[in-house]
Amino acid sequence: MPVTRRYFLKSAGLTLFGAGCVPSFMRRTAFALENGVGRRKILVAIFQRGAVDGLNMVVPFAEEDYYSMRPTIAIPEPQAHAGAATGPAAIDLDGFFALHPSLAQLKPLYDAKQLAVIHAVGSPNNTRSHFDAQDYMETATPGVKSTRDGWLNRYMVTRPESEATPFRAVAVAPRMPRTLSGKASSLVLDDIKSFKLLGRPDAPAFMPATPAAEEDAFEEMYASSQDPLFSRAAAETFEAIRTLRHIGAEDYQPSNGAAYPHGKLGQDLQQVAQLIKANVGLEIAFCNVGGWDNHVNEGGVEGQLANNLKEFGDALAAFHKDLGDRMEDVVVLTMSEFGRTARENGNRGTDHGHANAMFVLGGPVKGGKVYGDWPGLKPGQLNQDRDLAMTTDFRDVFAEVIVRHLGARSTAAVFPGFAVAPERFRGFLG
Amino acid sequence: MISSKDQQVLHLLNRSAFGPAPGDFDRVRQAGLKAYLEEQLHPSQIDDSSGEERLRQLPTLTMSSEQLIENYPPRKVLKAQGGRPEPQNAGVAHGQAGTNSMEGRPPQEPPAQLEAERLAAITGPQRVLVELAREEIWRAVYSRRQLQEVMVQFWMNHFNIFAGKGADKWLLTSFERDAIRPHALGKFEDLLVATAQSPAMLFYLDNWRSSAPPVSYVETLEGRKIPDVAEEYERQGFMRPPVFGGPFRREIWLRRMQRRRLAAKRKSGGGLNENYGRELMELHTLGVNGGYTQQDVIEVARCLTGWTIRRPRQQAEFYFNPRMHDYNPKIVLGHKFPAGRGMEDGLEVLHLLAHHPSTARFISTQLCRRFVADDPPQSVVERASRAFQSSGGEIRKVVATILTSPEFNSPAAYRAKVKSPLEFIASSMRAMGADTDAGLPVIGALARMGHPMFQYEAPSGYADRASTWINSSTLVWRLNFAMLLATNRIPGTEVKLDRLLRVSGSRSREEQVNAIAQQLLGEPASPETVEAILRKGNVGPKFENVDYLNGGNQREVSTIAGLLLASPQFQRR
Repeated sequence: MPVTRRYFLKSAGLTLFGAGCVPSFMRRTAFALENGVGRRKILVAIFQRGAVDGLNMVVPFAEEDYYSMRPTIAIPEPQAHAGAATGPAAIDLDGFFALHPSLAQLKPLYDAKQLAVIHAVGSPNNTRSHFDAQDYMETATPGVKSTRDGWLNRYMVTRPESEATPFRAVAVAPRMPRTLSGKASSLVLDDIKSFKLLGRPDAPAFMPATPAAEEDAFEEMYASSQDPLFSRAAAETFEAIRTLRHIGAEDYQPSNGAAYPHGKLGQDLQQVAQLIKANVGLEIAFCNVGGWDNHVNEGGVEGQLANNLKEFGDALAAFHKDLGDRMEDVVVLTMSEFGRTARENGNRGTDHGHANAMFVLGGPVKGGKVYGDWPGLKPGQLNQDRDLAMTTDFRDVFAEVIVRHLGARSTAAVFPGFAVAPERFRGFLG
Repeated sequence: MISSKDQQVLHLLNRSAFGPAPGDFDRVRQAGLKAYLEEQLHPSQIDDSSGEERLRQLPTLTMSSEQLIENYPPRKVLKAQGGRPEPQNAGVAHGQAGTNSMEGRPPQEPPAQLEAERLAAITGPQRVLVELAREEIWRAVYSRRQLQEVMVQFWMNHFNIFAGKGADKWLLTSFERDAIRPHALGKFEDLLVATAQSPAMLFYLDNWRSSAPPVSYVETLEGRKIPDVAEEYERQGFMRPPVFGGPFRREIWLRRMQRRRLAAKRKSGGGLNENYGRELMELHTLGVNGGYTQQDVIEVARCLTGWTIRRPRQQAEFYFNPRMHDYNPKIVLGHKFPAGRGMEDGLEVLHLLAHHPSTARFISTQLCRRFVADDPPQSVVERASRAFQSSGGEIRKVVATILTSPEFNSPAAYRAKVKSPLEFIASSMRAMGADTDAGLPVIGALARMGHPMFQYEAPSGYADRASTWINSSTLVWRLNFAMLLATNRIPGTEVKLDRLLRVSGSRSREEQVNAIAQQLLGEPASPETVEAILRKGNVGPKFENVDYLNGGNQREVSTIAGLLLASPQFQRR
């Protein structure tokens, strides 16, 4: 059914307002749906909270020291290199790096040149605090604690859109991540299906039993409130409720036979795919995935990390399959606050380290390659004699994504105190 | 100063308690603010038998961790024993059960009974967590020791533990009961030691696996290298290396000792784990800017080697294992720890940290953030910090200092804090005088509002700020909960509207709205809210035309109550 502006406004119950007083934010979503503004360049940022072990996620198997430093958790080198086949092993990417076997579903995407890896990427700041490091990455101001807004929010501020919908930036999460906090408005949408008011079957005469009427009563109370925190959140809430009802959020079937894993990330990415296909004006989506802080019994080809990576890789692959051609507009970027120690610790786990690996996935990506300078794992090559050293500043990766994919023209306000130089871009995009 | 006495009473009840329950307001007004606060600061002197009566329905609360592990094994074990599998959706984690049951319940069965059956059907560790969640909700709603409950929630978040990590799902009950609750208003050092020795924390932050780093090596007669344990074992006084008999005999002895050490090491995993040492300083005591280095993290972790659990899934109790301890000298924050000591190392580190000026400041800041404002004025933080130091970390003194400070009673602090989900739910229930089973629908609503109980993964706990709790998604569930509660549609929770019907009587619509607001909010609703409710209410019949005791009015009164509980004003405390 073709979506017309008239249909949308009507279905959203807005006729109650009368033609002259449709709130401007409602006009914007209607406009987006009508004019296909929804089809645009899209960034999906995924934060692996807790510091994923990048050295077991993308394994530098040709590095001798990797095996001597990780006697119980190392991933065996790819079988072509190991000679005799001896069970599960890393999946060779380029003769030096290999994927953890749990990420098998990502290998075809790498071969199709839709997936790239950036290795030894990290922060110039050496903090080993999860919380500081996450803040530094999300604000993109390593070492500066006073920054309150997130880098993607600042990006949105530098490119104001008169026709932006509240769905321009969506965190599929229970709470607003720092990355999207700030002046520009973003939506928190933990679960599309439950994002509605329940209405009341026995409502009194002055508040009819339709959800729209209940929305109306709540909305009036919040719209007139002198409390900006609440009036602002509510404006987004009510528009989102109407839009989701309109796109039929409750029954979604993934395309192309994509099967999302059952965990939270799979469900979150499925909702992102749903929003992308519904053309609600999404530009930036954000998801979290936790469980990476493996100080004890991290495991190798099997175990805690392997299980987490399996869900992670399967979710990314399902998302890619579900979106099909729409991946032409989409870049997925994964990140984690820091890496883990190059050596395993006494508990067959790893402690807080430094540089890490990131994935970039999507149609615009020049994939099939591991980017970055490899610093090595030999004594003297390690950061503070314990971690993978950093050779790519994570801000250079972020900058490349917003400049070359989202088309940002000015980056100074997005990365305060950091001179973005295209010649430092690793070139994984266009 | 907040000008009116009534506002001061409301402010104190909103901050030192989970909002006023019916009758609280008059009680505090009569007793006086000072006397009320004094009473609340000494919870053991408050008779809370009525509040505790309900808790007897929750057998897990009084069980030891060992009993819990034995009585509530995971589903796998249960299946093997032919037991009943866990019902789907009994999740504390995501609250699915809660939402489903709210939306549609079969009309033929009495909801309370249905809810009781659903709760009784929960088995395994899920049962332990559901009962613990119900305890927390019940106590927040009904305990007369309200300040203690506020502090228990504060410390549970400060020393946050994720129930999803391994054995912790069975260990949180004891953590709350034995480590947090007894010290919630006591001495900070006691609280810190109790958490450091709690199996829940030892497991969560991995300290139970942390042991002395590998020792130096000696060469055997054949030229092999084996760990040199002689010095270490001698220091521990277990056994001295043989003095006579030459190198051969000494080597036999060394190898025997080495086997012993390897056995201990296999059990412990062997080696230093920095996880707890770091979070102890960053999150529990000094704060991330408290002036420690990476080397301090390592030294603290070394001091705490040997603080472990006998067997996490069987005998979950703290003990000091001398074989895991690092006996070499250490330097923590410039203080020298001599070689050769055992468990005292850990106790001394905790003493040092508990009384460090950075800790006084950090804990005071967090408490001011809870009681005064998201960004509390420096003056009150300093005042609290001085009280912390001069009292040697008496939490009671610090809290009293904050709650009687001019900053606390300033107009800027009035309704400056946004309620957390638990604060919102508990204060709504208290305002409505609800009778609740604190069951799955309530636990589920908490999750939907952004607080799935015991499911926050990181040791930092939630940031105590408005932005943590208020966003487009959680707001939907605040509105839904308010309306469902007021209109009696939460299975297992019942509200009686008599009081509201009585005060709303037959007066003008505006007077009626204001009278209900006075009951629920403790003060008049904002003009915008009243206006919005009145505008929406104009199409219905006038109250005075309806026989309000006959229920005709109930629908309207309950809707007004729902709107007031959902109002922006009631989202703040």
